[in-house]
Order: sequence, then C-alpha cells, then structure tokens
Amino acid sequence: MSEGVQASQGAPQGRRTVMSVLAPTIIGLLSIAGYFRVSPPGSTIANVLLAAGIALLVFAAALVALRWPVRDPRDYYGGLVLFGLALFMLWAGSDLPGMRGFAFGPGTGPRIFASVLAALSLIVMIVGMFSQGPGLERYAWRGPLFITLGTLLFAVTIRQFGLIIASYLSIVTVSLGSTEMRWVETLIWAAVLTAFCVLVFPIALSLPLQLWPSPTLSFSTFLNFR
Amino acid sequence: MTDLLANLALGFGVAFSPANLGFCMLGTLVGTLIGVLPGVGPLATIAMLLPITFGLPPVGALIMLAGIYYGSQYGGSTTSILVNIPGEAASVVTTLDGHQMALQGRAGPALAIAAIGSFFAGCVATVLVAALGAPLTSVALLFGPAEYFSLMVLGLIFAVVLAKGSVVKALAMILLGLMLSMIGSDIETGQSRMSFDIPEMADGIGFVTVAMGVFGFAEIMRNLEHTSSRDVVKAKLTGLMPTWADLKACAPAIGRGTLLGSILGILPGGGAVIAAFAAYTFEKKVAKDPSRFGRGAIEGVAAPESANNAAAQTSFIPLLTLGIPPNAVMALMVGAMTIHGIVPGPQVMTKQPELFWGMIASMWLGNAMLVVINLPLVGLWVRLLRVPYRLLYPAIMIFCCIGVYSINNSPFDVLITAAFGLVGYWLAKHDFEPAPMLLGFVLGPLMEENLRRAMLIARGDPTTFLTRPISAGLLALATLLLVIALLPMIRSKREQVFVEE
Repeated sequence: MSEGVQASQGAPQGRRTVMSVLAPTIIGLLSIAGYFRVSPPGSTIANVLLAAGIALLVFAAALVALRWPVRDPRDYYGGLVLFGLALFMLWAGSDLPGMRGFAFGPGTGPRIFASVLAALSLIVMIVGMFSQGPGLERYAWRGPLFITLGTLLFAVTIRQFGLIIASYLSIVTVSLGSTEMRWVETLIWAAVLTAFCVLVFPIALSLPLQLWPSPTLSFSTFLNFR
Repeated sequence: MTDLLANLALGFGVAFSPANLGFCMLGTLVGTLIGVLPGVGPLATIAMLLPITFGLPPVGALIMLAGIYYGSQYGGSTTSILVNIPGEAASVVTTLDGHQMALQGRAGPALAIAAIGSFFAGCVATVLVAALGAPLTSVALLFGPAEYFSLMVLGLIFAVVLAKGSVVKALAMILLGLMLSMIGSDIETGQSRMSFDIPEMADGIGFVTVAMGVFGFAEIMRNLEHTSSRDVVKAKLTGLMPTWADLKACAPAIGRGTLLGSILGILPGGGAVIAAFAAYTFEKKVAKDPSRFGRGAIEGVAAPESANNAAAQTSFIPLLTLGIPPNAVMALMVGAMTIHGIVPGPQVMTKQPELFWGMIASMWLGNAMLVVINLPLVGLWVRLLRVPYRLLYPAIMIFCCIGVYSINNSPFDVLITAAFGLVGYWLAKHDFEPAPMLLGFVLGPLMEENLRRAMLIARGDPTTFLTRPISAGLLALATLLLVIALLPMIRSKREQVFVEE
C-alpha cells in the first residue's frame, strides 16, 4: 500500500490497546447472549456458544492480567471478527435440524463449515498475537462512506423516483468520495452519465426500468422500498 | 480426429454467424477497454455486464462474456507497457520489462509482441480445449458424488496454495465463502436457512452481488485512498513491428509461456494471474543472462503475455467438461450459464454441441480479432487512460448499481452489494484474499450436495472418500499440496515469487 498510511498501533513491541481487550469482551458477551436466545434451549449449539463466550471473556482478562502481546493487529482482529462471525452463523442456524440417522439435515452443512471456520480463525488470531506483522492500515472514511451512501440512495430511490433521479443523485453522492472532486464538473458529468445510462439500459437493452417518479408516489410507498 | 474436425466445423459455423461475430467483437472490444482501464478487473466487468446479456441468446451471451475475459487479459498489457500500471492483475509482471521497453522507445515492438504472443497462445489453447473436451467429459462419467466432492476439495486447496499470502487465511476465506453460500433454502428439504425471515434472502445471496461488492466496490474504495498520478509514455508509437531478432528471441519464450499457461489454466485454482507470474519466473531461470530481465528484455513481455492468455482460455476446460469452475472468473461464468438455463458440466457438450463448439471456435476468432483491431486502436486506448479516476469511478459505480438492480429488479440486492463492498474493504485491510472466498461461495452448494449424497450412498460411512480409488487419489493430492504449502521453507520461496514486482 502507499506509504504513510501505517498507524502506530502495530508498534514493534506488540502493544495492547483498549480496543484489543474490548473486542473479545464484546464478542464474548454477544455469544453468551446468544446462549439465551437459541430456539431449543440447552442444545449442543447453545452450550458451544456459552463455552465460547466464557472462553473469550477469560481470554480478554488474561490479555490484561498476563500481559499477552498483540504483535500483528491485522491478523488478530481479522481472526477475532471471523471467529465472531462463525459463532453468529452457528447461532443463526441453530433452529435447523441436524443429522437424521446417517442422512444430513439442513443444519449439518452450515454447522460443519462454521465449526471449521471458527477453528481456522482462532489459528489466524493466535498467530497474529505472537508473530510480528506490518500493523493495521488506517481506514479511510471518505471513500467508503460516500460510495456506500450513494449505493444506498440508489437502492432507496430507484423504485419510486425512477432511473433518472436515482442515478443522478447516486452519481453525485458517490463522486463526493474522491478528494479531487469538483462541484461543477461533477454536476455536469452526472448529467452526461445519467443520459448515457438512460440510453443504454432502458432504451438500447430494453431493461424494464422506470424513468420518472411513479404517479402513486407517497411517503409510505417511499419507505417500503422493497 | 474426424470427430474433432466435424465438431470444430460445427463450431465455426455457429461462430461465423453475423450475430455471433458481432457479440464476439463487442466482447473483445469491451474486454480490452476494461483491461486498459486500471482498477476495473474482468471479474467486476463480467458481473456488471451480466444483465446486458439477459436478452441475448445463450450462445451469443457466452461468446461475449468469454470475449470480455480474454480481451481483458490482452488489454491489461497495453496499460502495463505504456503507463507502468497493470490494467489488471494478470499483467502485473508485464510492467517489469514492458514499461522498460517503452522507456527505451520500443513501446511498439513490446505491444506487438504481446499481441503476437497472445494470439499464438490463444490458438494453441483453443485446439487444446477442443481436443481435451471429449476425453475429459468421459472421465466425468466415472465420477460419483464422492469423487466430485474430492475434486472440489482439491480445487479449493489449489486455490489456497496458489493464492498469495498466508495459507491459513486463504483457507479461512474459503470457509467463509462456503458458509455464506449456505444462506437460503436447503436443496433437499427446502427449509430456509439463516435467512432471518427476510423474503429476499430466502433464495440466498446472489453470486453477482457478492462478487460485485467484494471486487468492484471494495476495489474502488481502495483506489480512492491514494490519489493516482499517471504518466503515459509520450513517446511516439513508431515502428510497431518487431525486428527479426526480436521475433527469434521471443519464439521459444512464447512457446514456453503458452505451455505453462495452458497447464496452470486447466488446474483448478489456477488462472491467468498465476500463469503470468510463473512464466516470468521460469523465463528468468532459463535465460542465459537473467540480469537483462527488468531492463527491457523482450522475453519478459512475451512469456507472461502468452501464459496469461493461454490460461484464460484453458480454464474453460474444467468448467465445460466437469462443471467445476477453476477460478473466480469462471465461477461467474457459471452464474451466467445458470441464468441462461444451462447447467455447466459434461452434458453441455452432448446436449448443446453448438453452444460448446461455438464458444470454442469463437475464442479463436476473438483472438484473431484482438490482433487486428487492437494494434491500430492503441492510440485511442492511450487517450482513454488520460480520463481521471474521479470521473471514471462514478461511471463504474452507477453501471454496477443498475446492473445489480436489474438482475432481479430488487433494491435489496443493491443493499447487499453495498454491504459486501464494506466487507471487501475490511477484508483487504486485514490481508484476506477475496478470490478464495468467492470460489468457496460458488462451490458451496455443489459441495454440500455431493457430500450429502456420497454419505447417503455410503450409509453414513465417511471412509467412502478414502476407499474409492479416484476420490482417495484426489484427496491425497490435496493433502500433499497443503503440506507442501505449509512447509515454511517452501512457503518463504513462494512469497519470493510474488514479491518480485
């Protein structure tokens, strides 16, 4: 990556930050909360979630008490988040029936995959604690924020306001994501692009896209953008 | 042999129809354009253009999509040589010697040799696809669920071994992909899984939405982090044709590159990027004077360019014969085929010969077109490169949005894409490779289905994967590969290969 984006968090000695303790604590608490929300209580999955949650809390405490290092925060957080995700998927699939005799049930596959993912992400996390890494890259906020915002705007407006308004708004919003953007240029360019999209998609390719706001536009239909 | 000729004749008959010629030309042109523009890979493009192919006949649609793929391999080299920015990942190595040649005023020969090498590789690969299609299809008939499952495991392991960076992280990405693919209704019971009672999730997450988010959106977010400055070589493009000495120096390099690329393309998990790297490294090893590389050695352009083009085409072999996508772009082709009601696999060849052979013939035609069309168009591509990124990316974004929306006319899909854009950005920040995840995502349902069937047939006995010889062999190979990849010594060597940029 480009120079100068390295944050100081990955200092060579492996510093613990508040975040590195807080993250496993939160995931652990969520996992324990999951134990109480599993649909058939007392199932294996519920116990797994409880055990994993407690283990994470103990781990967070040990991190502080035993002064364990976090040498490569990139892998540490990466593994931790994936571990949390695996637990979440276990929880989400806990209502599915498992093995029926020797036949797989709908829940078997997801459980196998989630368990293997949990194991692998723990390896990533533990390796990330003890081996030196390049440190966290700084997250930019501008690009991701405006790109996501522009996309959301498109999703919300396309049904009710039609292609022209949705594209124009979305293009302008997305353009804000670049530090080099210039207002006049963007407004003109958005108009050109919108015209191009109208010519290509609904007209040349005859995709069923509505161009202008629908006559039945009202606030309630606007919110129900599905 | 006569069969092969008859089949090829059928294929050319299909490919030469005016409509299909048009699709082929359009595909290669769009592909080249995409390859030329940095930051738009073939994957995002195919995802973006999928909706455009909805209205086309299946043959035309697939011909066009294939054209985009190998066209982009070709277009990438133009940017690499002229601007020193790889247009897409497969032409990273071409920047090393190609741009040096351009600085020495030999941009013309570099571009020409890239074109000639690509064309030669394309021809060989086309013949290879045609020749290997039939025998591999008969192999596929020997395969039961257990063998299919083991083959997919092998493919995924290949993808892990050949991906750059940590093996464990690549494995984790595959598992993440497999897990995400479980969302939606269960194949056997129809029960909805992990869909949180959201009706749009009942059918699972669309492949295109994941691909577009993780590759398209996330890539743009990352590109926006550093302001780009491009210095296009201003040197006049005189003397396009290489000299005899150049050609003589290149001929063996092209041959070796083609061979290496063809093999790596067929192997699951391989593909154009790895082929280009491998060909360059190999060329450097066999060269009499390795120090010339990196300073404008013409072999350093010829070999990787031939290799990536060969690999781009031979990677169709496992898809068309076994129905297993060997890499992420082919995974998208599965999506495209399914949309058109074609189930990729051995039956494509027997049930839809005109589709199979038409596509193969069109690949050869497409390669010929690339040479004829593109060399004169280099000037145009160079001018396109001067379009600043701040204008380019909103265009890409809006095409993506409209593309995703029009697949199902569903705004929800657009939301999911936005979410996966952020996921992809996060993954990149933590050095997770998204490509294995996508492969896992595509193979997930197939793997689960075959695993379930195999277990059912064996009455719940998991040793069935080890007692059936083909399956056992495949799994043994996968284990061997994994062990090799995990051996630290070889691993450090492997990283060296990829560090040489």
